[in-house]
Amino acid sequence: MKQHPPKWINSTLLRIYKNELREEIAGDLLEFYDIWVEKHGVRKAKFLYIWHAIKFFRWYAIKKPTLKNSNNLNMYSSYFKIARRNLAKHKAFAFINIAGLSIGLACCLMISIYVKDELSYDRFHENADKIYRITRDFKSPDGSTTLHLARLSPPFLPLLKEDFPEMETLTRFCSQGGVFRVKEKLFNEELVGWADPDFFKVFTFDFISGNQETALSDPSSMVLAESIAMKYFGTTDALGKTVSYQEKDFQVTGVVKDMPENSHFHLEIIGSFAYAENFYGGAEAMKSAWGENNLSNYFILKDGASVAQIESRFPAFLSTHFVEDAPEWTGLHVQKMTDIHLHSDLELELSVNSDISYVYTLSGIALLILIIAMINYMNLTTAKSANRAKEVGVRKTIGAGKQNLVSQFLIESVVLVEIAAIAAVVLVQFLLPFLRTFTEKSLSFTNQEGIMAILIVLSLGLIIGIMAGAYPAFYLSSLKTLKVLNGRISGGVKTPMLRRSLVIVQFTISATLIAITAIIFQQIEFIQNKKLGYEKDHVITTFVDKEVRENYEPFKRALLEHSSIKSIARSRVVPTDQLLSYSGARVELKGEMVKPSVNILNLRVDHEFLDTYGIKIKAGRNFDENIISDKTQAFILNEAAVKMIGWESNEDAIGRQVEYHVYVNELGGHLKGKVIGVIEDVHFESLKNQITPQIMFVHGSKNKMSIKFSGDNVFETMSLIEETWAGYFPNTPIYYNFIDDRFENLYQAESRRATLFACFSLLAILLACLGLFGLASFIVVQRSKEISIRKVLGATVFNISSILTKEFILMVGVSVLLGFPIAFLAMNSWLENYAYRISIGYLPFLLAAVLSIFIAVSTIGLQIYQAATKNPVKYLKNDG
Amino acid sequence: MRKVYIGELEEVILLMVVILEENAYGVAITQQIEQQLNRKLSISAVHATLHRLLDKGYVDSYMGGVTTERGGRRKRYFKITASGSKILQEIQEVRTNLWSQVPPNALTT
Repeated sequence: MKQHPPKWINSTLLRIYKNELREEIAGDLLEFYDIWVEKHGVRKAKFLYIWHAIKFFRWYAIKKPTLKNSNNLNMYSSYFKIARRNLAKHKAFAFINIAGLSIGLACCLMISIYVKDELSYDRFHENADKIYRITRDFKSPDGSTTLHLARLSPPFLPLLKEDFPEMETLTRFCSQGGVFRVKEKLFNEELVGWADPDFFKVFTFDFISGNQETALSDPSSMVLAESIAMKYFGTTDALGKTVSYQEKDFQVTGVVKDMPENSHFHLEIIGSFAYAENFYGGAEAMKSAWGENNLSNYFILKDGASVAQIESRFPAFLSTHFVEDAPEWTGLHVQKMTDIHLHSDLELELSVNSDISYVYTLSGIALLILIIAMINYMNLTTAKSANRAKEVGVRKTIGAGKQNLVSQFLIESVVLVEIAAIAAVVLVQFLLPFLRTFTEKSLSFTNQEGIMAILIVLSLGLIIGIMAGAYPAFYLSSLKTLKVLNGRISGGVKTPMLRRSLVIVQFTISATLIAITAIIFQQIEFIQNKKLGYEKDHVITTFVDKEVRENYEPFKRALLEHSSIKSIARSRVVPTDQLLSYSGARVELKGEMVKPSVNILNLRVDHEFLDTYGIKIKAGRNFDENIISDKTQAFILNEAAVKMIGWESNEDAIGRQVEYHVYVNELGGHLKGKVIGVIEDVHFESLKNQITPQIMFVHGSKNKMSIKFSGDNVFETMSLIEETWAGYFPNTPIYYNFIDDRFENLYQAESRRATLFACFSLLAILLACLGLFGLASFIVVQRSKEISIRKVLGATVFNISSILTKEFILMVGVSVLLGFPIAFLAMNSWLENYAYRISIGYLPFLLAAVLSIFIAVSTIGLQIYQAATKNPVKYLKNDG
Repeated sequence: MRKVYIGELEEVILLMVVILEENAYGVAITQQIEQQLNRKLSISAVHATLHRLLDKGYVDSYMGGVTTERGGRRKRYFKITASGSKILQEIQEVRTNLWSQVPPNALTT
């Protein structure tokens, strides 16, 4: 029987070939098929048949699409041509539109670059989605949270490892910097972590050299970041080299790429955790150091395990391993690592985190700016529609359907928006460096991301073009042919309702942003000028290391001999630090020793501390160096503590018994003593926090030194301090901060964000003005005849100006009224973040109202003035 | 007119068209080339070359009558044109001319 080749080939594959060739191709193939069947058998012949059929796929043979009617295509190219001519003809109009849109798009782009960076934090770790951090909180007897720490004390991790098999790999590190020595050179390093061997299993680091698995297993091993290796050795090939820290030699066992910026912690040197044991006084002491909460603990969650389940077992875990009643006053929590940067604001965070609300706010502003820019386009285009009406009429007469006209105007707007989009990309190139410096983020693009971004912007341009162009397109295409050709369409004396509401929307946004910006700056101003209760100027603070501690008194005496040095104090914390230390306490109230309802945070200070910071004593006295009992048996409280405890007055507090549960070896028990003084409430911490009850005592280690000096000759005083320091502590480089700088730093992120907000608000307003300007100039032209007639009939320049301005002022007025409730509500909820906040007054709103109207009037003013002063003959004589 | 270049494969196929006279169509040409020159060409390659020659104007084509073989499909026959003949002759002349200049015994065997 005769075999047939696969039929489907003829009906499918061969279809792609030209009709006139198909017959011979099929015929030739079939002839060959018979030959192949004889030669190779049916199976192979079939295969060969298909194969050769495919091989005909050549340019000459395949069917090309033919256009039966190319009219559509021609029309499209005509639309592009008309679009180009229109832009060229109305240059000012095109400029306003393109400038507005490109500024709007550029803002959006920059904000999205910023937001993308914010959202990318910690994602670079391979297991990013499975890494969790364990945190710990402390509760007061009345149930309020005293502290919520991002860190745990050392005994937790080994116990967690045993009790929680869901935690697949656990790791922890202790961040403590200090002086590193390489040969004879000293380096002060801050970004130092002491991590256990599993550190690199949890976190992803890019090893340039060294073995990731074993890098931290040796107690004297140390891993350096590339930049540190370069700094110390001038090469990244640093394996096996020696770095010393606190008299101990470490061997470099690995060099890693510098950590990316978008990480919630930054380490440049990672040493073996075995060394960190020394910070607690040895491995044994560490096991019972439940109070030393300074280790960051992370784990990888086992697949399928649940975090809620882990958290529910924490209380039981604490009672078993720690103390029976622990769950009553402390607790453990788990947070996802990728949430830390935007959702976590605990004490002892590894770096200052951002806040998701800023991401939302900025995205909102980006959207608003885009809306304003789009409204500009819609407004200007519809306002100009009268100019195009004749064209529409003619096109309709010749036979253009509504569809053709819609697509024509859509194409025009897409062309315009795409030009703006390209301009925006160029603009961003220029502006990005500023944003970079300003946000101190690298905000860089890889090539691939750059291309992606451009594609996204262009397709965004298409969408925006269609959205912004839709209204003008439908509006214009629906014009009645006869009417427009009769010339009966005019710009109208009144602005159409829709156009008016669009202007109102724009100015509502602008007025709201002005009011919000004003309130933000008021609050920041308020914080920075609030009476803090201490003097922050002309004080520096520095660390007290071993060498400094040993030689402190002679150094102090030597320095105080100079008249420019006012006083020198030592303390555990200095103002602007977080107060993180508290213990249980009992106080004398109505003859009984009772537990206060709120935990009292403590500050270890010496007798110079209050003077150095100019803190006022409200009752009683300061610590006295010459009274020996002041060392262990005297307390100074702040007013908040007195109030919380319930003593009648500051004077009443003096002499009351206090037990503070800090163990003192010499006493063989807790600190016990009397209140000797009460100080004014002082804003030690950020003003976001309420002033907490605080207690001061002398006992214990105080590792910070504060030096108060006169502000007469700061430069000389600094070099004096540096020289004296170098003389007494040759092995410890001095490293100091000014307290007022540290104070500024507390609010740096805030004021930076406020400035960012202000910038974008300004742009939003600028865009709205641009639109208004275009609209006004157009309306003035439209009404030029009316104006001329009024003038001829005797109207003054003032009359005419007020007629023209009235409408705009009315619109802006409505916007302002609409915007204020929005601004008020938004700001009220923002201010709730602050313990000390301004109440929102009328001032910001007045400012916003006046500013909006002023901006609007000055935008349109020139145009209107010109229109009002023109010679009326000019407009009247050329009327046909 | 620009001198049209003709490739080696084109030349061979053009010659085949001449040789096969009335029977010059895709399959026959392919088979003849395989038999006489021991050169395996795919039908699509031959086809493409024929159409190239068609474009250059060296061959003409016409459809044959309905056949009983090959599913009743017609064959496209090719015929050499005047310019095709001319170019073949030119090639031949150039070659002969060159051959005549080759000195005796110059070609080592």
